[in-house]
Amino acid sequence: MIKALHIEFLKIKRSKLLILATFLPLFAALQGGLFAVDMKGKEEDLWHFVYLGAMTQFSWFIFPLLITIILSIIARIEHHHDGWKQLFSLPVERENVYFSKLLIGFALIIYSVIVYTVGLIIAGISVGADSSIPYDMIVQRPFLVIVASLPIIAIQFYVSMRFSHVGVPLMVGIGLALPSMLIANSAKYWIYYPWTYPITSALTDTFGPLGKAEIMYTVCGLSFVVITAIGLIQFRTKDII
Amino acid sequence: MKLVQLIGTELSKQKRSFLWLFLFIIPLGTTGAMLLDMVIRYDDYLFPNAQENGISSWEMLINENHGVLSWGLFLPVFVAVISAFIHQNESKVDNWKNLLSLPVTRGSVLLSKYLIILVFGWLLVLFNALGLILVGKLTGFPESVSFELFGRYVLFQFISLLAIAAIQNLLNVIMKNPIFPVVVAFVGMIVSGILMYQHQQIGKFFPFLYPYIAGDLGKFGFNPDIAISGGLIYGAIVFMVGLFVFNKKDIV
Repeated sequence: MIKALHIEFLKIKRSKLLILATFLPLFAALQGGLFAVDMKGKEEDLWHFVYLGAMTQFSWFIFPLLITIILSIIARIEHHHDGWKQLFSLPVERENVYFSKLLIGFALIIYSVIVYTVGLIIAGISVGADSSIPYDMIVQRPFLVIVASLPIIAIQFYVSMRFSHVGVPLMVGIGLALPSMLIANSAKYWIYYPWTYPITSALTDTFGPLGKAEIMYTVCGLSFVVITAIGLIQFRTKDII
Repeated sequence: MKLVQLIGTELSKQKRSFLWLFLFIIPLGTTGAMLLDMVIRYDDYLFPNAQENGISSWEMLINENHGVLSWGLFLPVFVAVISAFIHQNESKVDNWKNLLSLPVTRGSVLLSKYLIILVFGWLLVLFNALGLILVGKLTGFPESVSFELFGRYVLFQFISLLAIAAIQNLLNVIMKNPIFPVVVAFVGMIVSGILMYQHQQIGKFFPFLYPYIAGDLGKFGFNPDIAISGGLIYGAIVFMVGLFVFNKKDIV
């Protein structure tokens, strides 16, 4: 497994994935900074506005689309020029390949959230927010968004591995992100739409899980396990000819 | 080989493609989301609010679709996905070699791809608009459908896509990995979100914002005519740049 992980790491080492995972979240942090600048002089708690300005875009489409792009690229490395054939001609376990790709994807997703939180802190300091950084909001909640995004990660990973056509995971990821903010506004229906989970977990003042936090996080954990297991079963029996 | 035949070839490549699914699923999703929006908020909030602002229910629906649902912001990314589908065959198996070994000019190959991206993009816009009309009918808007309003809404988006399709076509020719042109459109969408709120003067020159401006019925104060002039100018310039790049492209 360690060897498989190392191989996957080598594959992405010289790809543009790291650049994307670094710069895309910074756009959200920039947005937060600009929003807080507008509020300067009018409001006291600038950290709140840095967070709000950044997180609205980050949780709605930047993070879900970043997940889509990262996982699509990781899977495409093998889909391109039928790399699966070459990979499986080596003495590697399919399970190890599957999980190493998922883990590398996770590592990049977590890395992008770390970059995002650092970006938020820099944005807050730059706009002159007070010296006590609210870590529970600026650091803790972005990581909670990762947990809330587990169903999206599982679905995107499944679709990326299942379909060789790169348009399919992009279509799913972008298409389903579009109505998420609108559906998150519905107190009744948001729970049925996993693309709203990052929004409700991040923007708790505006949306909030409305007493359904336990259900939401249970759905996140369960759906991740079930979809990943289905993906693994299909991957083990995948015909690569 | 004539341009019409090339377009036919491009269409036949998409015959059993997921692109058709994309064309129907996305507008179906926006129709569903708008219907949900109307079911939840029309009677209590959206209709009284529209009356207060002196706009019809149909204008309000377009505002909801374009601004609240953010159809206008996402549209460039959808066109980027369409472009990725259109260029998939060439990028996946390096089919440029086979295509250009046929008696075709490079210009007509590029133009056929551009036109196909445009046609699919236009279909997406059209289906979205038809979905909106259906939503209005199902909700029971008291006003009759304003075909002038919808015609203008659709036409302005069509023209704004001239620029986006040209940019994506060019990017797909330059970049080997078809995901990266989509990433560019994604970054364009993020930057559009920043420009439309905070830097509207710069936004007028940013092509990824044109599909949004095309449907702006006054909410953010853009003049939709910018989308017309911008779409035409960027479309023509970027296509010519694409032609130059494609003619110089080394296809080994």
